Amino acid sequence: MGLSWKSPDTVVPGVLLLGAIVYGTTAWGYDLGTGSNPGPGLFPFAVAIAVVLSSATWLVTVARERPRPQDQPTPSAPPAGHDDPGLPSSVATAEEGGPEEPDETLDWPRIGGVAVAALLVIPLSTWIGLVPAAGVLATATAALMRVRLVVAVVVGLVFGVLAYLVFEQWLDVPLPNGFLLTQGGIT
Amino acid sequence: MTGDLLSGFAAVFSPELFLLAVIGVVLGTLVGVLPGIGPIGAMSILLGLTTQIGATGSLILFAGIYYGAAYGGSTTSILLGLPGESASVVTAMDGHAMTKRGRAGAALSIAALGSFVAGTLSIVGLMLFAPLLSDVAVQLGPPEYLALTIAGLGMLVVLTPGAASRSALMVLVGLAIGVIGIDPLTATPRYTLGMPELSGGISFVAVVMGVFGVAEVLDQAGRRWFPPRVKAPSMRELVPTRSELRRAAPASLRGSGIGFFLGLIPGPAAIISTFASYLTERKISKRPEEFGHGAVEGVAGPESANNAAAGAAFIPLMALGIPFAPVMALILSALLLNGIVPGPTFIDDQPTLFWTVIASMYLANAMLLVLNLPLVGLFTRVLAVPPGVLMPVILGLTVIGVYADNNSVFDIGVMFVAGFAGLFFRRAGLNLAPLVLALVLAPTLETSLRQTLSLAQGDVGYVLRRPAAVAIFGIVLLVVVLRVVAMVRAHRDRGPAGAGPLVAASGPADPSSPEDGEQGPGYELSGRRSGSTSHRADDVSADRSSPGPSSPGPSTPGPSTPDSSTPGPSTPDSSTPGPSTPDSSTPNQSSPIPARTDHKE
Repeated sequence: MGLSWKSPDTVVPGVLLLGAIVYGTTAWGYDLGTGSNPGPGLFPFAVAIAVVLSSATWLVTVARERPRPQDQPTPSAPPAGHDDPGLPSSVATAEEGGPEEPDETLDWPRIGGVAVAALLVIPLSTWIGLVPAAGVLATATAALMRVRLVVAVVVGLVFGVLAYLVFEQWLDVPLPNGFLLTQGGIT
Repeated sequence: MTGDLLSGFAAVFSPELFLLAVIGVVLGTLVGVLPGIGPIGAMSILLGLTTQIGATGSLILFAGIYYGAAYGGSTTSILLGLPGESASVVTAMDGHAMTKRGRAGAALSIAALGSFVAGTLSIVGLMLFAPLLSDVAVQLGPPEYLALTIAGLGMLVVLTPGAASRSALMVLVGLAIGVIGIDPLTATPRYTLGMPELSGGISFVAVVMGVFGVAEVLDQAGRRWFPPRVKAPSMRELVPTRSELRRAAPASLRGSGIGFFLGLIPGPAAIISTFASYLTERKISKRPEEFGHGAVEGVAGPESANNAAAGAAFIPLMALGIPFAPVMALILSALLLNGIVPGPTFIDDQPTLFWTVIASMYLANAMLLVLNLPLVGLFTRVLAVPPGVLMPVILGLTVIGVYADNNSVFDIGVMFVAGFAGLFFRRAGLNLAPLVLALVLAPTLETSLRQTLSLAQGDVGYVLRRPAAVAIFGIVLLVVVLRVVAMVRAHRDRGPAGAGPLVAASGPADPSSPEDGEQGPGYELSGRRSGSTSHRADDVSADRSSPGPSSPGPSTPGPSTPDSSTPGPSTPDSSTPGPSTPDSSTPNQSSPIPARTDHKE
C-alpha cells in the first residue's frame, strides 16, 4: 500500500508555530534580564520569537499559494503497474514506452511497523538485553521491508553476534543484559 | 614541524590507529557509494563509540569517512550519473558523459588522482595555516566568537541551495533544542520538564542519530527498491591517456586552490567549491563546448575542489574550535565527548593528537588512491545490497551506539523521537544539516552573546570598536546582499522559480516542495533547475532509458525523496522533472546538473 505525502501544507509550520509559542512563553518565565545583564530566558525567548515569525510566514505563504479548486489539474488514470506493489510505476511506464513516472509514494503502514518495532526496543532491552533487542529489531525491520523471513532472521542473528563481539567483547561497552538473562544465570 | 609529523606517522602506524584509518576510508567510500547514509549519517551512527576508541582514533576514523565519502561519491557520479554525495553533483555531468563515451575508467582515475593531489595540498595547508590561525585566534574575545558563530550559521543558511528561510527555521529549531538543560551561567534549569535526564541537555548524539540514521531507515523502509546494473571498468580501462592527463593536471591544481580557499569560509563549502571550479574551468577553457559532454577538466577541477575544501574545513575547527560545516560539528562532538575542547590552544595543548591526525590524513588520502581504483568494481557491487538488509543493520547500530554514548535508555527514546521528527521534516522539504550545526553552536552562541552584552554594558559602539568582529559581520552582510541581489535578478529574469548562478531560487511556487534538501534542489550552472536524480535502482533504470547522447548529464526522474526533487512550477506533480531540459543539448549555455536526493551532506 503506497500512500503519498508530498504536501504537508500547514502541518509542519503549524506544529512549529505552536511549539514556539509554548517555548517562548516558558522562556518568559526564566527571567529575561536586562540589556547589559541578560538572564537565562533572553536567548530562548529571542529564538522563540524568530521561530514564530518564520513559521507564521511559512503558513501565510502556504495559504496564499494553495491552488484554488478551479486551478486543480484534472486527475488522470494511474499508469499501468502503479498499483502493483512488486512493480514500480517507473518500470511499468518505461515498458510501455511512456514517460518515466517518479514514485514519490511512501509505504506509511510499513514505516509505522518499523516505528512500533523500534519503540518496543526500549522495554525489550530491559527484559532480554540490548543486543538481543537490537537483533530482534533488525529482524523485524528486515521482515517489514519485505526481505524473506529466513534472510531477515539471519540478518538479525548475524547483527546480534557481531554487535556482541564488537561492543561487548572488543570495545568493552557495558550494555544492559536484561533481567531475564541475568536471572537465568546466562550472563 | 617535520619532527612532529614524523612522530605523528609513527603513532598512526600503530595497529589500532592504522586499522581505524582503514575502516574509516572503506566505510567512507561505502557511504559515498551507497544511497542515503552519507558521511554525516555514518559519523552520527558511530558517534556513540567515540568515547571507546578515544579522541585520536575518533578523529582518524571520522577523517577517513569524510575523505572516503568524497571519493565514493564520485564513483557513482561517474558510472551511473547519480551523485553519491552532494559535493559530487557537478562531477556527474562530465564524468558520466565520459562514461557514455567509453572513458569511465579514465574519468575515475582522473577524479581519484585529482582528489589525491587536492587532498594532499589541503593537508599541507592545514599543517601550515592552522597553527598560524591559532596564534591569531588567541586574541579573539566574546564579540569575535559571537560574530564567528553567527557567520557559521548565517553563511550556511544563505549559501545552502534552496529556500534560505527554511534553512533559517531549522537553525532556529537547532538553537531551541540546544538551549535545553541547565543554563551554564546561572544554573537555571531550562525546559527540563523536571526530568533529571534533561538537566545535562538533550544528547547531541541521540538527536543526530535520530534525524540522520533513524529518519533515513524509516524513509527507506517505505520505499521500493530494485538492484541497479553497474558495469565497473577493468584495470586496463582505468589508465588515462597522456592528453587527458595533460588537461587534467592544471585543472586539478586550480580546483585545489579554489577548494582550499572556499573551504575556509563558513557554509556548504564543498558543494560551492565544485561549482566555482567548474565555472572557472569552463570560462578559461579553449574548448568550452566540450563541457557537459565529457570534458576532462570538468571532472578534475570539481573533484579536486571538493577534496581540498574537505581538508580546509578542518582549519577553523582546529584553530578556532568552531565548526563551519555539519560534518565538522560531528567531529567537534567526537572531541568534546572525549573531553577535548578544540580552540586557539588546541595545537599547543594536544600536539600529539594534532600531528597524528595530520599523518592519518596523508595516510587515508594515499589509501583511497591505492584501494579505490582497483576495488571500484567491488564498491559499485555494494549498490546491489538491498536496503532491506542494510537498513535493519543501521537501525540496530544506532540503538546500541546511542546507548553506548551515555549508558542511557532515555537517549534511545530521544533518538527515536528525533528520528520521527526528522522524517517529517524531510518530507516537508526541510534541510536537517543546519539544525545539527545550530545544535552544536547553540551554547557558544548564547554564551558569547550574553558575555558580549555584559561587556558592552549597553554601549552599542562596543562591537563596532572590535575590528575583527566588524570584518566578520561585514563579510556575512556582503554575502547576504549578494544572495538577495542574485535572487532578485533571477526572479526578474525567469520568474519566481528561477535562480542565479550557483544558488537556486529561494522558493518555487509550491511551498511544500522540497526546497531544502541537504543536497539542495536541482543545481544548475545556468540557474535553471535541473531534474532530480535519486540514487536508487529504479532511477537507474530510468537513467538508462532516458538520457540520450546529447544529454550532458543525467536528469533522471525517479522516486526521489522530497527534499531533493526539483519541482517545476508548471507541473501538476511538482516533483516530476522532465527527463531532460529543453536546452540540455547545449550544455555550454545551460547544463543541467542532477541533484542527488539521499539526504547526504
